Amino acid sequence: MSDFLALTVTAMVPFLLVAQGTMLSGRSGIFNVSQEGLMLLGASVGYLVSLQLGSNVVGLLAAAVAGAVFGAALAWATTYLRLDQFVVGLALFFLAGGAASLLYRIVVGDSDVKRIHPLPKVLFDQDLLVFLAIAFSLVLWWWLYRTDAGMRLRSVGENPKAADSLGINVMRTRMLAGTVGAALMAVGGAYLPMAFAGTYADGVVAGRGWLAIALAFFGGWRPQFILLGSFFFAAMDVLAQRAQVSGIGLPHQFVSMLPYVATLVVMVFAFRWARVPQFLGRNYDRESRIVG
Amino acid sequence: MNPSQAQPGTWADGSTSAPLLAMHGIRKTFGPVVALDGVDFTVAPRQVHGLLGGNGAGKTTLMNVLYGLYEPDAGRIEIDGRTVSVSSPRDAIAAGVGMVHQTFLQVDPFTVAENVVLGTDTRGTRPKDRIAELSERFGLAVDPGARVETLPVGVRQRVEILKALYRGAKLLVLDEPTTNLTPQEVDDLFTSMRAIVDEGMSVVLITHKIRETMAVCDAMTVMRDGRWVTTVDKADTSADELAATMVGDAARSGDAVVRVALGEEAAGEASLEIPQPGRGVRVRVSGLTVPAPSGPPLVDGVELELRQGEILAVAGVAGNGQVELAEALTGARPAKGSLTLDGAELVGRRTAAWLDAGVVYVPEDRQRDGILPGGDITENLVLGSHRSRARLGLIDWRQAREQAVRAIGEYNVKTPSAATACGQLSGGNIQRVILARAFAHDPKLLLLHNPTRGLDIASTTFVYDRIRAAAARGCVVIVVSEDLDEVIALGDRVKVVYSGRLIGDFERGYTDPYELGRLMTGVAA
Amino acid sequence: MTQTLVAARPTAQDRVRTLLGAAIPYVLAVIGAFLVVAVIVLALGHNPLEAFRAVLTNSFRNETGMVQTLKKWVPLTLLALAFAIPLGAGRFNIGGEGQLILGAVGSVAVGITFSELPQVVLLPLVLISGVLAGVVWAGIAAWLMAQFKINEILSTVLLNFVSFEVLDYLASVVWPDAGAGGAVTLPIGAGAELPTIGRPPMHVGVLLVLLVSVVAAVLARRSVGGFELRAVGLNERAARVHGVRTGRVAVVSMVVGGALGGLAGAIEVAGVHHRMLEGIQSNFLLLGIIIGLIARGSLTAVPFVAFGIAVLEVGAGSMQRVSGTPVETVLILEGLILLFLLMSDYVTARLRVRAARTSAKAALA
Repeated sequence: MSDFLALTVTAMVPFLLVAQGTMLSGRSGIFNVSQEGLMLLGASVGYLVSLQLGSNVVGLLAAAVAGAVFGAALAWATTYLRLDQFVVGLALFFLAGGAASLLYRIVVGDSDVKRIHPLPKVLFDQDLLVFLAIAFSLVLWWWLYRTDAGMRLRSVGENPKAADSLGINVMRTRMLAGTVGAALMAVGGAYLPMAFAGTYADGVVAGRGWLAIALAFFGGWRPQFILLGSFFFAAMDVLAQRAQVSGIGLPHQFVSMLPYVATLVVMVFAFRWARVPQFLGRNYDRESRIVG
Repeated sequence: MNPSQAQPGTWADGSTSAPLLAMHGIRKTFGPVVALDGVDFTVAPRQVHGLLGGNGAGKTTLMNVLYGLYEPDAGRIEIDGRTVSVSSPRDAIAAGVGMVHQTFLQVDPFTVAENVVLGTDTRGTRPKDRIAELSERFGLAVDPGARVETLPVGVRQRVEILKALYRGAKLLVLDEPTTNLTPQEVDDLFTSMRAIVDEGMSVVLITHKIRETMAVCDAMTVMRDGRWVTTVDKADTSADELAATMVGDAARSGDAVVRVALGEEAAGEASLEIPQPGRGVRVRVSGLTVPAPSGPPLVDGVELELRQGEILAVAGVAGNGQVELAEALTGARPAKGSLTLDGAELVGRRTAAWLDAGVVYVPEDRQRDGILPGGDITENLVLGSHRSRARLGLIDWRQAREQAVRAIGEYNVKTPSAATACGQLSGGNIQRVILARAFAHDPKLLLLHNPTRGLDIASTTFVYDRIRAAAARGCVVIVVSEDLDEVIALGDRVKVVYSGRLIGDFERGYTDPYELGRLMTGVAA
Repeated sequence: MTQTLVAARPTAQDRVRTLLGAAIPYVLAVIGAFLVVAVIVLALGHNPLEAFRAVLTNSFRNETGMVQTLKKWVPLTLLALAFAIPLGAGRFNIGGEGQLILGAVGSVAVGITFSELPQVVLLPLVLISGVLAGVVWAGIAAWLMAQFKINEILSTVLLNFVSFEVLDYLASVVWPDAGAGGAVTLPIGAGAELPTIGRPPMHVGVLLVLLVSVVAAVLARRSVGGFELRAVGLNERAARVHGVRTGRVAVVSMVVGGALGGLAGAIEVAGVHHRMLEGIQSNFLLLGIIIGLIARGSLTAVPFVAFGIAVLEVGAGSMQRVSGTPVETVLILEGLILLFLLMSDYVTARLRVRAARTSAKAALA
């Protein structure tokens, strides 16, 4: 059982970080859909920097910076130029993904695949990032709902006109949230080679980026429920792998389907509760400030 | 242009304190349109000051300038004797001005308390206590923990007022605050206003409702057409006098459009015979109601009987439910009650069914509701009739284009071709396209909302001709307009919409604009 | 009053001029993307001209290249349409690969179960079941969207993942091909295979998709449904005021998308692999989305853009072999094309506003 828990908690981390990043960005109104690309980029940068410099931590930081650059680009294009968020996000997805593979190819090329050291275990046989991710989620929960700054962020994603009229700097809020959100997504990707594969490969993300979007919706765009949802997802994942190996009566594919189907079912029954920031995906035009 | 004072520095009530707010020579233009023409506006301390005016008077624009939403082209603002520069709401708030707009600027999922403190620094403060205190002092009962989206309009309005008070407003501006309030809520609001003024602040009440002004204001300023008209104290005036001042000189000679419409001048290609309505009743409306999520209904039990070829003109100040009424009468909005056209009941049926039955709606907001801006003229002419004209599910575009060319010629649309995107046409030409579409299928019930807003004389005349021609063919026409001249000139019958209800009933030639004014401002209700 | 007759359509000359006028910014955008990639290629130490020549001409060098390109073009076009059509109503169908996989499932199910039937019966049956399966799969998402207002991005993405498991189940448990390594189903009956033409053989699915593209473009232009879709995309409010049932338009558009995705899966089974296998969906979804976005909502443009992307994708391998430039560069190129196209729209709009302003000033002067 504790084995199961341990596996789940580790598996949960990439989902958690990327979903929280999606949420953070989304709460300011920026619907970032480039998660897969950013995770690939984070994985690639994290792996390569780790490999070259011998430090996982520096690798994680480098991944964060790479993600932040793309996030800032998305935020700027949508906030100042008011370009379509979805299109820009997808374009950046491709660019980030391409860059990820390209970087790997340049640095490693055809030489032997080298594994980097996994992150050192700190407590309960889990590495530091696990605790950081969980702690961060809880801090986010507190920050979003109990601080002035968090309230301001939420207001920008719900009614930027109201926020603007009260002196809140909508543009700056979106830039910050979009950048930090994307950085988180990249770090989530960087965790993959560091905790699991040990290397980078083109298929390392395997759709987790898209799932993170699903998780953000599933968690009602709230950090505490995203934490629970990530745990739930990861648990199902681990369960499915167990089922595959141990061969229970039900074909393991149906167990694997469970998290996705369960999410949909939950959404159906809780659709009134699951609230999306009202301005998600929309760009704010300050010019139309006329009220009434 | 000076406020009516005995001497500078002395107010009519004898006090000699400096004004709390003094706006001098405010001028604001939007392109060629002059919204404010050198307006002076002064508010004394401890005063409830009504800012009255009809449509297009400029009262909201003036206050938006004060609140930093618009930058004036010229003019000066002084608060407590000091000149202030206001370029954003933040500056206005810092200067002590608070404004409650017609559409509340609230974050729906937030609580009352969160909405009130949003954007302020709450470290070291106890917001809930302060809100409770303000709430108590000014009679603005709220539950700080309730989410605003669950609250009725009256309570949400209190939250808006608390927002201003919390930030230390000295001057509170309320823009048409009683629009969606029940009479009880209006009384509560006025009580709060007096409490606010008793504490040393002032309130500016923007409104067109004279009875309310007389009930709560100490002084009132009337604006018309972007200009200051007069400022009086309540004691020195009456409701009827105010109504007359607000409405101004309707139907007096000098206005070309009106002369044309009344047949005193021949113009263009039109025939100006005023057709007599027939005898048979074609449209019957009974108990038509559009409920509101909270508060009084948006459209309240409308009853009508309209005869063949009759033109009903509906006057009213904007914001009294015109849009909802227009949409309910044309099936663009679901409503309760009954509306029959030539005996067929339409309420409850899909919009497309209304269109098939011969109902045509020319909306006020052309860009938003009337056309596909990215679509070309041909496409826009086809919209609405695309199903009925299709053979085997396919639209014959060649035929549609030919019809479009004919329509462009007939309606004099200035455009290089039928393939020009509609959004690129001028306002007048867009309206011509909309009318071409409206008349293409011989409407039976035609409703136009503010059909000549923003149009030049030629286009306006054109619209009137088309309306008359349709009536002559037996179509029932309803014109909802905020232009009193237009209403009086066009209507075989004239009614007024006030707070979602249709009141009054005047026949052509027996319409007294002053009486209309009284109905529009709620004086004679 | 005399007046000049207004033209129904602009003259051919005008049309060509406006078309060119519209095309120029797009052409510049594409060239811009190539230029940036050229810089990247140089930085990597390879020859950009060599690289570009390789990637662009590979498809045209011989029949094999063309057949490969066309084989890729088929699913790309279908999935691009599957994304672009709902996009016209403002909905995001990210479920293309799930719909493709279910289409493959439907086809394989019929193709294996009834493998003895003659081609004249089996082949249409196989294709139709593929289409229907795609319809059902997209229909789930459409229903959730209409009934429960569940965001369609969320539901289609989740259904994609479910579809992987369905594929795995069929390929590993129900109809596994013991001989093959990995999750592969038994082959479909010979009657279910799409006939081929030419040498090297190209399956006639290509012709089918050509037909589908033409029909889609024609219906978009001419049919009532196509007009309503366009109206909803241009101005949903005005469309509703004029009787268009916008909710229904959205649902139908999703379902049509599913049908096309299902057809893609059916063709992959019947024409390319003759069985269903893991990975049958390849990277078609993402490329399809990018094609749909590059086509800026024009269904007529989709097959052409799809062809361009197919050329790039097929040429990538050749580019790497010939010039050493890594294949990933093509991904970057595609992303940049999309980005630059978007920017060119923005720049054109700004220029137009500025031009209007100066001409207005001149008129007043």
